[in-house]
Amino acid sequence: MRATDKTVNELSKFVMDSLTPESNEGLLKSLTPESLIISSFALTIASVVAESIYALIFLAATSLLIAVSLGINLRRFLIRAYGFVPAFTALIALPAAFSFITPGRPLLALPISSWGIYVTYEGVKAAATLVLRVTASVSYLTLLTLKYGLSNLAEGLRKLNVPNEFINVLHFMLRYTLTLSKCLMDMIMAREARKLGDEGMIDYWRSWGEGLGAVQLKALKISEDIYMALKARGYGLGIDSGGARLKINSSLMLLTASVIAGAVVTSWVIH
Amino acid sequence: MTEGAIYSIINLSYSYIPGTMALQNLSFDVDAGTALCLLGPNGAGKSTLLQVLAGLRPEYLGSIYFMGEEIRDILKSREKTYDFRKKVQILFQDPDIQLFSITVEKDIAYGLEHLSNDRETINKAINEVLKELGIEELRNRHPYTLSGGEKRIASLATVLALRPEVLLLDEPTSELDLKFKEKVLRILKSLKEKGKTLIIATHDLRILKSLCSKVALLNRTIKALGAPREVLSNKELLISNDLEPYDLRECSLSSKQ
Ligand SMILES: Nc1ncnc2c1ncn2[C@@H]1O[C@H](COP(=O)(O)OP(=O)(O)OP(=O)(O)O)[C@@H](O)[C@H]1O
Ligand SMILES: [Mg+2]
Repeated sequence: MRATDKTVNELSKFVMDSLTPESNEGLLKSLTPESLIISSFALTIASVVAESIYALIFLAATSLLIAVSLGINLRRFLIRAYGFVPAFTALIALPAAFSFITPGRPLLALPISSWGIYVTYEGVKAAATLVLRVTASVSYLTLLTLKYGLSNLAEGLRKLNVPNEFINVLHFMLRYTLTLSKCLMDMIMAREARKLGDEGMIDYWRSWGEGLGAVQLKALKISEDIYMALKARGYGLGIDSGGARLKINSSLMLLTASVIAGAVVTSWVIH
Repeated sequence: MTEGAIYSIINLSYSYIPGTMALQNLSFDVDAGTALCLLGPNGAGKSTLLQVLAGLRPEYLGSIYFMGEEIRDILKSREKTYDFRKKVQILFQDPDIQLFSITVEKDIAYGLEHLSNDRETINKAINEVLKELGIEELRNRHPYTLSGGEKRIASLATVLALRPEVLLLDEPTSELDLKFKEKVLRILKSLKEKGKTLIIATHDLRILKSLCSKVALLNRTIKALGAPREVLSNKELLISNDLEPYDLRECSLSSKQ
């Protein structure tokens, strides 16, 4: 397999894996999607507005705890929530650590310090805050996709009175992303199987270009068909005999409230 | 429109691409309690017809009355659509489209959750259908990891669990081994005896011979519609529509079961 094939394959696998939930049940059984939506939404907001770096550490760490109690595989969760996205953010936040972006007390001298460029204490703090903030927010959203399937999440949002048009678009986009990933992986495998000998670089890229167009169409068609299958079994009617009744899990709400309170207390105490 | 017809189809046409017709000017009735088989070559429009009848492709031309009401009108009202979906269920030809959840169990539950909010009723219905089809061990499997035949039978479970009045089944027995084929046939027969309406796209001779009360030969238009014996014994008609002529004596043993 060529490097491009491999990268696309890995990326597709990653996307598919992030959007495919697990089926095992944890401590918080009988949890409804709408409860978890409220809870992760509240905690994501908390992560976005938290000022103190300690509160952010607290929030990021607590997401691990919640993941465990939801019965989500810890390794998978760590890779999803603490892997790619924070690493990417760190890369972007890196320049902020230097004196030319964030002036302040020198923390680390560099060979180029004589030019007035060094790592500042304030800079590292700013970069770390950003990375932690992203990690915490992403991890609460990861909880959602790892716990529930797309259709369950859509129903959950519907029960929370989110407008149907918005849900349908969101659902369709995520479904399309998922299908596209699967189709890409299938295409790479099918091309691998049919390839005779080594193709030249130009042929390789040409076939990739053609393949990509075909795969996008295929994914679109499959997503549309699945949407039809969902409708056939009552998707979006929302007037069922009470399946649509809002069920909020009180223990989760309590947990959410305590986590937010915990974050507030942390930021006070360590200040 | 005749009395007692569950579907009345008048001048139905359907086109995916402007200028080409997947279905052209179909007119026929389906009486309640009939088992109608759709027979036709690849690309004849069988799947299209089933999806149109399921109310999933409302952009058809002509009219379709379901229990006296035009499907397009039904789809305009949420309440009526809900009743319609409760009564009519479709099995898609491609199980990868039918199965969209994390586990087989959740996939079966998906439709049920729209009909009931009582967890116990839902669980009971799931258990029943898994037992009926003999696939209890597939309950917690991820649909992506099932074999072709397992996917088919799991898809069927999602439809049967809802106990619909009208079943639109697209190739329900393809890819199944003998054991599952006979099981499905037995279940379909008992549904027919209970007065359910079945419309089945199939090439399966067992179904054609021992289940169907009517056969429609479809090849964009209706080429023949009548008793199975009548349609299936017309060798020239079958051959001219790219279908294998059936030997009607063959298989008569199994149909006695
Ligand atoms: N989404 C689509 N876009 C364009 N054309 C389509 C689409 N789906 C089906 N068709 C065309 O419509 C015609 C009827 O297709 P359909 O799937 O209904 O046939 P079928 O009788 O079910 O065939 P098979 O036995 O192969 O399943 C075919 O010519 C097919 O190419
Ligand atoms: Mg078909």
